[in-house]
Amino acid sequence: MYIRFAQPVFGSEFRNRQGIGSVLDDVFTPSPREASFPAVDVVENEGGFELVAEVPGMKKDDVQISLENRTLTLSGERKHYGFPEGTTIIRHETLTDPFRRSFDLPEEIDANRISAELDNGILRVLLPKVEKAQPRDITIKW
Amino acid sequence: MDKKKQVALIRREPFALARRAEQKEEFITAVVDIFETPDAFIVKLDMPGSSKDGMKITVESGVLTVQGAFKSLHRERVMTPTRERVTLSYLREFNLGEGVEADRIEAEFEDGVLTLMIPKSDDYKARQIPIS
Repeated sequence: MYIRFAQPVFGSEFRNRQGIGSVLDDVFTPSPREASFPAVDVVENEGGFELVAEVPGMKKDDVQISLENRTLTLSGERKHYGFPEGTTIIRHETLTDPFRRSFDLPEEIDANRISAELDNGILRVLLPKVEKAQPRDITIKW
Repeated sequence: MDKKKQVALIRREPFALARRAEQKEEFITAVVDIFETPDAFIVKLDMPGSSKDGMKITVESGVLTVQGAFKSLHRERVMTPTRERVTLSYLREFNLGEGVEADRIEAEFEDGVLTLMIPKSDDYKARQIPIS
């Protein structure tokens, strides 16, 4: 049982397959940051899986989590905090591009009980397994 | 204005990393935004997963050092099929030039972003010179 990182549908994979992009591609294809952002750890424990993603500077409303056909998609956009008036920028390394990452979930995950929390720039998506998939001790009667 | 007198706030990390490597410790460079307002320098560092408690901000001989501990954050780990997050502590160092008040640096940590406000000393603040 595992969680597979799905290929981005609208990423460069798609564009490459279509040949070198026409101008229309760039107009009509959203260009979310490629599948390297945000960094995601996937962990399995007895109760289910956890996705842990780094989303610094993002609020609840900046991140969307959607589920469709057992594909879980994290998407969103980091909003810029905005430079105050009269600012001179010395260094600007943070990115505010939109991002999108998808994950194929195994059958054993209970889609109705998926939950998520956001704390200190870390998004944690909890993906519990369906009850019957969990290991349990069988008491043997003599 | 004399160029040399301008406040310098330059990243210093190539040397810092080299020095740390000798101590057999490794760090990840925190992503940073630095900007200057009329009154202060603002430094914003991405340190997702860090907490106020695990953070160390020091100024020594004109070098501002920010360090944040990495936490794996996984509860009762059984196995890790995929790991992308770098499991190193954050580090970034900056040279503070003349004209900043290192004693009055203020720090704030929100949504995994550390914001440092480094006030300029009065002599270096931008001001209008009235023409008489």
